[in-house]
Amino acid sequence: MTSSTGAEFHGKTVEEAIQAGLAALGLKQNQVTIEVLSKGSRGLLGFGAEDARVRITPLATPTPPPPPPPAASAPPPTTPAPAAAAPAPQPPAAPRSPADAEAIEAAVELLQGMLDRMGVRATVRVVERTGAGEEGDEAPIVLNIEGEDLGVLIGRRSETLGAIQYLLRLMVNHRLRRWVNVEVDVQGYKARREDQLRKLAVRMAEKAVSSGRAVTLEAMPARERRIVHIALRNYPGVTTQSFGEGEHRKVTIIPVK
Amino acid sequence: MKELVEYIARNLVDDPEAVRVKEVRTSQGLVLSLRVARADMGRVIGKEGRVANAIRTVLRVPAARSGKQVSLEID
Repeated sequence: MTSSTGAEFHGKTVEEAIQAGLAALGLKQNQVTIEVLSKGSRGLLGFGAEDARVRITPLATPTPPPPPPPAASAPPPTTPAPAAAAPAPQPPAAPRSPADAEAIEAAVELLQGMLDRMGVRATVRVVERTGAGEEGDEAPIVLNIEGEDLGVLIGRRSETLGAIQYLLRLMVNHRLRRWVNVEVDVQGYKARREDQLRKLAVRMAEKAVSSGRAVTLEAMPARERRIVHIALRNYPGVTTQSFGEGEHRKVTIIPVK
Repeated sequence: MKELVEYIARNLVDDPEAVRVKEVRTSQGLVLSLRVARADMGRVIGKEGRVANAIRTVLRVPAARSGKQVSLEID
């Protein structure tokens, strides 16, 4: 969808839909026009509930900063500084580049498009990154799918979630003709799982050290093994290694002298 | 389910107009038959069928809901 026609966003309430849209586009409320397409309804006992839908269209030109009040007492600038050359200080949270905004808009639209056609009632929300990613990594765009009863979107060993993310990346990259790092989460599942894995890694490392024997974790996908390796990279007294092939690949924590 | 396959395929290929999905009901359940331009075949199949398998995986979500057996073929 082009920015001239705006993009549609969903949410449980109109307010949520607007927030999702603004976050996705990286714009503020005064930089867009908002059209409420549907206020949504609660439905009865969760049946027939309908999302609120809004159309958000970026204004053709970004709103200029309000002109400084013509204070008669203020001395005229001595140097002919270019008007409004000094960039307004960026808010620390999520300074989105236009390229990012374009990628986010495409990713949100394509993911929502897939979910709608899967018959899944859910809202896509852009997760604001608080900290920087791991060193050397381009911070990915993280989309969280929110709704009720979304376990089906994760699947066994997050196989379904993996497929959704894989297809979304292909679609976004194809549309923009460039590589964009997009991650998909469901109800913060990956974030929670990451936390659990780090704790598990440390517990098992303690066990490896105290027993003096290697500890092998259950089989995990590459992404999760990577979290374990990184969590224990600087843990004293152990080293980690993966063994096995494909789906059966496991991390082993080995005590070192 | 047909719409899901169409949507994904159209957003992967260079020639979205050529995307066709046919639904065939068989004793084995519903078979979705996807057809794309010859030059786009690789995009919907992928290396070692990775793309086709990902489409099959996401198809299982609506399939499970409807209680139908659904399979995807590419021809």
